[in-house]
Amino acid sequence: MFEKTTIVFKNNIKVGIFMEWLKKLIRKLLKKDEIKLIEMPKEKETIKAVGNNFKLKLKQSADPERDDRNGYKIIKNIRLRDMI
Amino acid sequence: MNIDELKKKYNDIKIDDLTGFKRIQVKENKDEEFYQDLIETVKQYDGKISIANGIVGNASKEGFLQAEEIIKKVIDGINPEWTKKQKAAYIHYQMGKLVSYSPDFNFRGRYVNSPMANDTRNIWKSVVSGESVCNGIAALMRNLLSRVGVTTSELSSGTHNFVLAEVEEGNIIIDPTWDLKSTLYGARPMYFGKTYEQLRQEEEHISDAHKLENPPENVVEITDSELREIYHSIGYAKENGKFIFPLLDEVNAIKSKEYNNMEEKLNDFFTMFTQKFPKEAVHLSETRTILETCIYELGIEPENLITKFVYDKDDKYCQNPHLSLFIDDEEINKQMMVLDTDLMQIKGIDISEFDKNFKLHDLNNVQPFWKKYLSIDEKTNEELEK
Repeated sequence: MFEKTTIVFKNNIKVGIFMEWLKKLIRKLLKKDEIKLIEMPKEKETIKAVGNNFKLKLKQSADPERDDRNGYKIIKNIRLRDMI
Repeated sequence: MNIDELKKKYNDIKIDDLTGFKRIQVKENKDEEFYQDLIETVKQYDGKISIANGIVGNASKEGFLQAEEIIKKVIDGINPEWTKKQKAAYIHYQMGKLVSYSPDFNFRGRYVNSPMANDTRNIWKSVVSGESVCNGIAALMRNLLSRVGVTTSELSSGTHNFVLAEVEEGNIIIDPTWDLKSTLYGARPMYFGKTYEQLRQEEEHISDAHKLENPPENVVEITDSELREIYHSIGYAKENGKFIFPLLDEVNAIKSKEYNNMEEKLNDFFTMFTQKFPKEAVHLSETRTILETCIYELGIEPENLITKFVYDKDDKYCQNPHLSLFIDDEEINKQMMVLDTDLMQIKGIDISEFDKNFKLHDLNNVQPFWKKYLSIDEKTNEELEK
């Protein structure tokens, strides 16, 4: 009766409220006590060239460490020599 | 002076009598005389006390006094004859050594209310722990600048805090958080003296971290040549204006050597890095991005390198991140490495061994990327365990 299930989603799925709803539904339908949803990471890259010497590369990924509301999702494709 | 006398002299401090202790809440931008009075009051106080610069975060008496010792050393490095720009440049350059960025991770709309969340917003806790977030880092910088006579205000986009400093010619915008990597490793600051328009032009459609509802007025630009001049005058750039940035010289030395293969080259780099930059290496957020830049410089394309913060499997609250690096390209085949800050080494580790010992943050629901590299047997065993 009390079982764990891990379901792996390979497509990009919006999380947050939708995930919670989905978990509730699966719990109800499959009568599982614990559901863990694992999402495959998605990556989308946009390269923008700006007027100075380095490119800004936006990497929208599922990596929460790069999206912490402080703009750290900008990964500057900068060379070491440009930091001098 | 005692607390009552302090309160009488400075009526903008807030003193709360809480269960078992007194809480003193002060502003981050008072002058040096105030903080000296505060230090004396705290030293004399015979009881439990906490010192805060906002609603959240409390520094104990010991933590506060320890932080003040560190702060004093920074302030003592300032030449009182310097202009406000020079003082601001100097303080900006100390930030990388003082603190490392330690984010509240945003896991799919759930903000981690980690035990550290409040500490990283307290100036003195940040200084002692060496870890902070943008509002703590901005508050610390404002605190240091106010002690040396530079007036500042906080700039906030709603998701990010940075600093506006008043100098002789006008105001300059400074982002000490975004420059932590540069100021830690001795490189050129990239967020000191840019105008609001310059910041927005670089970041439009990419980030709103510096987007302000009411942009500041009377902002002056510090041009590239002036920046180099200022930093040369305070000892952080050479006479030709180039920043000292010792890591670049070390990487260039490695690039100029002959190696049998990329693995040998990278091992040499990792050995050099941990031996010559051990103090910097423990600043994980900044080290992560500088290592990415260095590894790119040595010939590994960014798409063939993954860096991740991982945690020991028995790290219940995910408080102690480790930096992992994974390289998979034509020459280096699926090599996982971990920065061991106790031994100060970057060690290769078998992926299945890595999987046994480490995990992503507990609130991170993304499939760990390394799982796909486990052997079929290992994957089957894992499924069976579940």
